[in-house]
Amino acid sequence: MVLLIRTFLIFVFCSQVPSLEAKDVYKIILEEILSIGTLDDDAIFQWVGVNVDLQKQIYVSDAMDYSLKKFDPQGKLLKKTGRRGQGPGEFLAPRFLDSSEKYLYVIDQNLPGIQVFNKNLEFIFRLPLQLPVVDIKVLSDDEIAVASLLSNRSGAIYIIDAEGEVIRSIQFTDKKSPFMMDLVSFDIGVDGHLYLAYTFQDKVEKFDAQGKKLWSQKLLKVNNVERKKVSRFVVPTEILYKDVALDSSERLYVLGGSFSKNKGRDVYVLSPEGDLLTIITLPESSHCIYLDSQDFLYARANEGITLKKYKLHFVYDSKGS
Amino acid sequence: MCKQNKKIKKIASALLALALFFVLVPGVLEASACAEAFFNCLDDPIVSMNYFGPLYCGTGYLFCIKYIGD
Repeated sequence: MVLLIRTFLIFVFCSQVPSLEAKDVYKIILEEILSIGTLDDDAIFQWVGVNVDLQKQIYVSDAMDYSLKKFDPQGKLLKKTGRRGQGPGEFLAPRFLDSSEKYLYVIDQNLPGIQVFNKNLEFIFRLPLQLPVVDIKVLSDDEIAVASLLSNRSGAIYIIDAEGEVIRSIQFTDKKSPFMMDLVSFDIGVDGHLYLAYTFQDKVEKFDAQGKKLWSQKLLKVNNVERKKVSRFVVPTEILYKDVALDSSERLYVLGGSFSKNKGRDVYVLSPEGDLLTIITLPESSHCIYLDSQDFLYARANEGITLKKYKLHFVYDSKGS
Repeated sequence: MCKQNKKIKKIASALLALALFFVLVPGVLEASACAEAFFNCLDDPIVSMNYFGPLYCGTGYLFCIKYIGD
């Protein structure tokens, strides 16, 4: 009898406990907490790449004055390095950057290789690499993942070592596409999962560390993009997805391009399982997005003169409640 | 009355075309600026001598339409 009553009470109790199903993000609200660079100062002229280290120092590549800049967490300029040129520590067109614990890795659009600096912005060495790089993710100082624009070998993310040798690759498509059509922006999660968004195709995908596709999403329902003949090349003219970034929960943030409702401003937020959770709209169009280790979002403003930092406020929708 | 309606339709069509021109042309011009820069880059004799030269022009084109395309 006691056992029966106990069982009955457990049953009643369990039915009253709120559902333990995971809560999904229903909405994300942006709160601007830092703005670096204005029309009236010389802090930034045209930033392209941004990175934040574990000490919350902010690093920016500036295309207009051919420099690499370091700011403190409050946005005060701490150091600047670089000038126009092809020598060590010089730039012709500084673009994206990423960092390891020790180093900063900077891509130059017009120079081969990847320039490596220490956190004091002192040039250390140039990583020799002939591949033109369109996106970079530093996994460690011995493994750097790059997406490249190649005419004959495409559809892969290449992992290179500190000598610039390709040590392995992650093939994300074996389908031969026209020039530029399989360009991607990508990020890699803690477990080695690859998340990518095609620049000129309506595809956002996730792969496991072995290269097996886990899911593929078509967020914008776009079947074709316009292509135009330029000299001997036929190139796409409109971008679907400009950039991707992962937060600390491996939610994927995908910056939309020309086909988004708010061009260059809509950021699609997907769960690690590929479900579209919500859409954030940035106040201004950006060419890229970046999320630091504390889930602060960075984006462009004032045509690249300003770098904005936002805190993300998550509003959850509890299923079954 | 019929002639007046035709006249109104013509004026409305012209106004619509003008409005579309001012809305669409800036975006087209920006995309064209990137395409033109890509073409000029490919046309550069130094670039054409380098095996990877056209690909570097391609990354420049990609950056251009990402940065100023919207």
